[in-house]
Amino acid sequence: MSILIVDDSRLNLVFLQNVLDAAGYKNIQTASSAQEAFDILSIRDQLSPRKAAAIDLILLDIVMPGIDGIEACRIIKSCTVYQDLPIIFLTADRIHFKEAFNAGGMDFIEKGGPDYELLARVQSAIRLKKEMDSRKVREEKVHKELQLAKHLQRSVLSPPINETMIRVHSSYLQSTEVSGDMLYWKMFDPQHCGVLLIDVSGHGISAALISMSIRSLLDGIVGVVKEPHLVCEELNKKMRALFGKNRRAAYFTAIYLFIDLERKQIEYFNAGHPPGLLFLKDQYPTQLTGTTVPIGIQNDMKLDTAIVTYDTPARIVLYTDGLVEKPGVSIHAGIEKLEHYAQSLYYLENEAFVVKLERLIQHRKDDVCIISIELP
Amino acid sequence: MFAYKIITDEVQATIHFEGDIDIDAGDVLEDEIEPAVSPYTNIVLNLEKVFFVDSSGIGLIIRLVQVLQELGRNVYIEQTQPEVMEVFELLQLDEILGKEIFR
Repeated sequence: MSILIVDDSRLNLVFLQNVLDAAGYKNIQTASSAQEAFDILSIRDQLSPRKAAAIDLILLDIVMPGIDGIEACRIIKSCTVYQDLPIIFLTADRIHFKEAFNAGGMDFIEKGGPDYELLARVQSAIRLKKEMDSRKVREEKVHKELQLAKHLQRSVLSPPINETMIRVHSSYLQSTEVSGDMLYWKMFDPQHCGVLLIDVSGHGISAALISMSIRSLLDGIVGVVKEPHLVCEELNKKMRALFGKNRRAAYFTAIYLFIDLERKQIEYFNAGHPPGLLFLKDQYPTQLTGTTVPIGIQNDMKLDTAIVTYDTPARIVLYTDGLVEKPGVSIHAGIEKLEHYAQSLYYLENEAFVVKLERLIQHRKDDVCIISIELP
Repeated sequence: MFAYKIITDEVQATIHFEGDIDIDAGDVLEDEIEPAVSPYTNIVLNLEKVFFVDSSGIGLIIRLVQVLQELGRNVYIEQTQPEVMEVFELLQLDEILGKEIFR
């Protein structure tokens, strides 16, 4: 632990150094003016250095010629890298206390007081600094881990489809670092495409764990059984087997479309998910509303599906509730707003269209995922 | 903010919820509310003062109702705000918990 003592009196410097040295503090630096202290701390023109000097505590005299201790404290504390560095004031006169604390000092020591008082205050300041440092390291580590997880999660998303008969693009926004939303699509053959969007209840890490574990099963579910009621059944079975015994109900809402490009027909299931929107030229959008309950709640859920047909050109928008939900406001009002806004952007090319829809997001507490399917 | 008050008579316990029901309400629902109301034959969840329930909150409500139903209790949800009801309808809560639960 490294301590910097700043005092214009050489006698005081020596005295304090001796007391601390005798108590076992070996790494002590001294400065006889604020300017000298700034040099040690690499503060130039009152600007924060990029990297903090290895100092854990400053003992700072208040009354000094030139820049006094209170002003020096203010300058040091204004540096980002020194915001958590504890500063203890040394003073002979209580008249400075109020100002000293306002400047960011954490404690004070009366000159001429007993050594044990000095040592007790130094010890507690250093203990606090150590705790703050280790907390910072932990936070930094968690933050880096989450950033990595975020990249990892994005890397499993299906790439856009850009065929003459179908185009699929998406926007995937993670609320914290990882998301409970997951999307998946697959061209089974040139005429058939499956598109799935899921939204795990809650958000953050626990929801992301569920969304990622479900993602790992999708090649073996959507890719194999294809038809909506079978996909629904399989997802529910897997979800129940994986998380059904959990103390808290874990579930997800989902919408899955099986698109037949030849017959211009879509069969879908909607498990408690906000309605998908089917836009046909110059028509009011059709809502692909709920056909069954969310996945993972019931052992034997109903596997109802619905069928809609379309004329080309058509566009389908799927989204998770973060796009249309706002606390205390009707979700239907949010969906209506989305319908109007999406219709006004109908002329846009698919990828640009999805990006524009992000503007509707009201608050970024929830994850948001938007998929646009263009059927030219 | 989430708060609650339980009013009981001989056979019925009514839980008056207030504020948002989300993940933060989880511990209170499981550790305090569930044991307090489970001895009663009829249990009413009054949502008059609840204006927002997120997806975790729905999960908590489903679990609470299911646990109580498994004990053979009659559970009802009443005075649900229209905005909250929309979310319940979207998730087909009546299908999950039984249509007779809403009153």
